Amino acid sequence: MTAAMTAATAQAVVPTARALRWAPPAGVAVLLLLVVGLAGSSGRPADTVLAIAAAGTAATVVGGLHDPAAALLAPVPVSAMRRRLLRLGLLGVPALVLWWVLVSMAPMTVHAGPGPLLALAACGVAVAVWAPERVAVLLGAATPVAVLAVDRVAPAGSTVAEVLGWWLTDPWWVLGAATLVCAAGRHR
Amino acid sequence: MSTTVPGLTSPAGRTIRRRVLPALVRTESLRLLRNPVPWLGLALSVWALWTTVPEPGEWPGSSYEGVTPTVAPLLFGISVAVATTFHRGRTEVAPAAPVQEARRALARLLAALPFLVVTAGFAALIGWREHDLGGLWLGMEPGRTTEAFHTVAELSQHVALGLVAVALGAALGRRVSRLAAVLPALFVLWFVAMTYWLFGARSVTPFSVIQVQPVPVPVGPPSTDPLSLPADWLLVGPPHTSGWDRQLVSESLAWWHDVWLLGLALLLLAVAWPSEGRRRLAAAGLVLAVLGVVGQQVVIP
Amino acid sequence: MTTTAHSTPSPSTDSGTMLAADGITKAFGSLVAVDDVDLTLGRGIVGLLGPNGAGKTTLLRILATVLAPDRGTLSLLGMDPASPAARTEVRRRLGYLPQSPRLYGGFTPLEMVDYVAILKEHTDRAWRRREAVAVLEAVGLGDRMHKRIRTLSGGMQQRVALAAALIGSPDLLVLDEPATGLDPEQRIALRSVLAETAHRGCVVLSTHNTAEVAALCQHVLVMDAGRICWSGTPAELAGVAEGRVWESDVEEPTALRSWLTGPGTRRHVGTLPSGTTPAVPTVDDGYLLVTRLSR
Repeated sequence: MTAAMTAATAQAVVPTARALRWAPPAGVAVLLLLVVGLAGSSGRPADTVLAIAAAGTAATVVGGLHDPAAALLAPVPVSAMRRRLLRLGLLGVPALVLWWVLVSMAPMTVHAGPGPLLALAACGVAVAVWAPERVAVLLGAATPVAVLAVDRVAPAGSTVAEVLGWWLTDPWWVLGAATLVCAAGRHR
Repeated sequence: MSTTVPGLTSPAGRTIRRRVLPALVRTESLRLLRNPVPWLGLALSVWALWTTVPEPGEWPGSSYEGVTPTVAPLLFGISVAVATTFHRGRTEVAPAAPVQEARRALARLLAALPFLVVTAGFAALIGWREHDLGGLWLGMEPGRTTEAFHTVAELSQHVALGLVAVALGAALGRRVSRLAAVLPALFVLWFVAMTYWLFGARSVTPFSVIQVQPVPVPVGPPSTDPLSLPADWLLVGPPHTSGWDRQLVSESLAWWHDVWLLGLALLLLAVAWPSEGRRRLAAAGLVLAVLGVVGQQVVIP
Repeated sequence: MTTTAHSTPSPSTDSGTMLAADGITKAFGSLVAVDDVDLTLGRGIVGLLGPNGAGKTTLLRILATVLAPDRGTLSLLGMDPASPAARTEVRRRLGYLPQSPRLYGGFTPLEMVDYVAILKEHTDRAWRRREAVAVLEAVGLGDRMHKRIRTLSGGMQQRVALAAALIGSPDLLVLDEPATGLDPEQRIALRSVLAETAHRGCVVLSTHNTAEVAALCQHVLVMDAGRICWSGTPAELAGVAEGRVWESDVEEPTALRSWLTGPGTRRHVGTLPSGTTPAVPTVDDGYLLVTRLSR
């Protein structure tokens, strides 16, 4: 990576942050804070709620990859993957802060680390990188949602439930695999 | 040169105008029903329903409580499909056409109503499944039954929930600029609603979206002799609870909850609606929602 | 300006070749959008004409490095964009205006152009600011550069996107229907902006407006069904219809194409009936004849 490219990426941080739509993530964050607060008052383990929060937050972060000016910016030297990473960084930091707040509010949780959130988000990004351009972000944002939805309704102990549960039981492996898939599509 | 065009106030014009709405509804309906997401949601819901069976050693009422929330994937799918349809309303198409936005929105809404038939069908499937299983289990000895069936009032909630799903999809689809942002919001909303125990506290029960009964009513400390309680009460006690609770299934609570859901649906539709007619929808929604909450507060034990 | 159908691509821009395509093909499923296209372009403005669905946008997206061809080789500014490093280098010297450009409504034109400049790796803030103001003034938005884009008209938004394409004085400018939404005055302003760019580089633009092509382009390519079916100057395109266009008051069954030009008057292209006086051909006539004959 050239010095010019690094400088360009650094200078693009502020305008990219302005180009992002912050209202949907803020809405989801407020909703999750309310729900986890409600779960806290019920005194029951909040793992289910945190799993929903992980998928919802991951989907919101991936949804932030949508760039209305993508067609105009397609042939700029700062690649699409670098622009994606910039957006992910800008959305990811507040998402991790939110996750930390949610976990600290939630009672009796087993999966308190950021692994599940990162694993689901990485899966979504991998799908967004490889899916057809027109529906890439939509499919990417749908991925964490779909994984959790099927995971929740799959009969406990079944192979489907076990595989779909890897994001919760082995999140760092899932994160690693999804990152490799993303890296393989770095020129997309 | 003179040209005569039949105006819409003429009998011919009025006939044309009457035919426009069904034609629009048919077109929108076909598009909506072709969307695979509600059908995937339905498949997940049916799968979840089929895997919910009473098991020895379960929390008293676990299977009974677990049946109703299985509708959530279907509701999520309906909301996504409707959001996609209403999202198209954000793009200005033929703004000078005689059919204005309010009628287009009405057509989209009417087109989504077949989904209420699907939710009603799902409720019927729950009823059939419960009879096929010979009933679900509720309560613990000595106040226990193995032949518990959801009441019509409880099952009617599914249709009201279908309407809420349509209205929620319409509101988010119409007001949020990106579909990719609508998806996580819908997911969080429906899967939180599915986590019914979040609304277990008496103060928040009337505001629940998916209401799950029975309602626990404390009837005595752990030292209470359950045999001293009325024989027709379904009971749950230690070690599952700190004292003895009556597990109450209230049909009137379920009906008032339906009223709250109808109010909620109208309020959400008001968000989605063009300015013409929005206030009336909001007012009607507010009245029904308040009535529903108050009604639940009155009948809740 | 050089434009050939089957020439040998030049490896560098020193010889004047700025863009060379050899056997470029792109298909979407069973639809072949660009079919075995050969091109060699130097400095100047090239107009791409063709009916809807002819493959113009796909070809322009390939030339703008947004889309990779399935087959064939491409050389842009003497480099092969198939290699990531070369593609990045090409992109530093390329401007692209997509067919339906979308912008950030919450930005001002100045902020939008400045943002695109950053992404083109222009990191000197003072230079960027000067350049952004200059291109916005060049497209006639000097007095609107601090307004929010969402408050601007469609034509003005098109000019913001054009300014974003022009930032950094690109050597290769690829414009997909740049005149869409512009009023006649703005079109004339666009011509002078593009003519200036064409002094130092190559401008490829697609349009449906043959008058635009006649006024602006030194060279015209006519595309149909994914292929370049004709190549020449605007005068040569008009010349194709020399002696093959005429006017009459009635339908002419022998004409390849007929259309009404005014009350009761029809214009026809095709084989001139004997005894008929030919009309003076236009670029429109030539284009219609070429696309008809290519099928």
